[in-house]
Amino acid sequence: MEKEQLIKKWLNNNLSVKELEEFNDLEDANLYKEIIDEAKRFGGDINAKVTSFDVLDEKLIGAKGNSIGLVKIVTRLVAILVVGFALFTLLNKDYEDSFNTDLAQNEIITLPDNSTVSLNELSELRYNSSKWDVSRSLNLKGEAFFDVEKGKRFDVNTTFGKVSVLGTEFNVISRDSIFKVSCYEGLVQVVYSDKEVKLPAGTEFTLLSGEGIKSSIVTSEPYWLKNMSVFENASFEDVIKELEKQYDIDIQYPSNLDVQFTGAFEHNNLENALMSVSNPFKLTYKIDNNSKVIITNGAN
Amino acid sequence: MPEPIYKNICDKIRFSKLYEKYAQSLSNILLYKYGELLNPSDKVQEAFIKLWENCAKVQPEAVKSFLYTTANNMMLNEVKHQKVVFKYQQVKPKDYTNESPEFILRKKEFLKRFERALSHLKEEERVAFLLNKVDGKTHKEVAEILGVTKKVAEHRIYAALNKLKDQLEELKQK
Repeated sequence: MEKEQLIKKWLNNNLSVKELEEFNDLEDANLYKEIIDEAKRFGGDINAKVTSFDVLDEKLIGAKGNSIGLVKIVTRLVAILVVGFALFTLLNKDYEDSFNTDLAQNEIITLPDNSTVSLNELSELRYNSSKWDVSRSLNLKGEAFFDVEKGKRFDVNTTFGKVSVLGTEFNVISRDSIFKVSCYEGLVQVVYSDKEVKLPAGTEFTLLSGEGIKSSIVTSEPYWLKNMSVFENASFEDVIKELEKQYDIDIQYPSNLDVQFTGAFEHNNLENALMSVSNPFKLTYKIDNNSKVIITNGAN
Repeated sequence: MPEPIYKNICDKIRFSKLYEKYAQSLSNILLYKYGELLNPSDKVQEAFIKLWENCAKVQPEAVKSFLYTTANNMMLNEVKHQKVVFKYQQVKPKDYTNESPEFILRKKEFLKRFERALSHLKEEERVAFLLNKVDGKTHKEVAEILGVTKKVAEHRIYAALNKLKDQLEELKQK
């Protein structure tokens, strides 16, 4: 039999016993066999093994169906919108500036339009600097002196009422039950419980138990700006309260005192301040080391 | 042609059966055609994912050719710049522990040359040869897969064997 035919038959596993002998006698028989044997090493079952269906299955879930794809796209869009919105609001956030002063602490604040506010102790000032161009409006608790640049309406909101000006210098106290506006320059308008009062320069407005009183002032600016507390016919009790606040001390004093105080005390020297308050009434004072002051009648 | 029992293959169980039936042999054909650098088994996976996405459109009787065409096209997209490379499975030490160092050395050399010779075969010859001799497909099956007559398949296998022999003759065992 011809060699080619023999080999082809061998390749097809078609050899008879006799033919197989003939094949084995071929010079290259062993090489042929080896080639076929070793070819198995290149088989796809080993070299290109496919993964199990489970592995494919996981990928199919992602690829499966348009409805799931749509849901995915929608959720992605929503996520983008949410993130975008959050960023937008974050970046456009209104910046509210707020200032607080503690006991015996003053602060001078310059507003975006160069108006200045001097904030007295224990006061709080809040305003929105990003909207300052649109409306000059701020909230005040406590006492502050305003030097307002000319421009749009300037509003000071307090719990008692609203003080509006164009460009001026004025002082506002809105503390506990006191509401007092003093105008030093220009014209100030005070609106309180549906009533409206106009204050020209050199006048001040006090709200006492729901009733507004207009009076004139002599000083060119409030004394506390010069580190002084000024009183006019004030009860001794009020003076002591102010002292305690300014120096953060406790003061014991005779409760039966019925005197009116007109005068001032300074803020940076306790001895001097105590002297200014007690001397006119012939009182004596004693400073305890732990921020306690005892004021007694001059008799002893 | 017999009426298919089911209308489409959009069903996980049916689909997994198809996978078990065709995946490995498809992977083998791709390997024999294009070598292993192009990750035949990955292409098979991708082809099956495509099939799943189009499961409603592909008729059950067309599944096999869909898979083959898809995977083959993916290969062709990549194959242009790549050389066909084969790698023999690393010789397991266990196989030859009783053999002399000379034998092991020769075997190594033999497989290296075999690798190269396989890569240099004509694609059609290599595919026919490996399908027949490694995957154990009969001549008739090989002919069907490759879309040629049995005679042609037979000749390709023979031609492949002869070329391999020529390349490896030097290392013939005495």
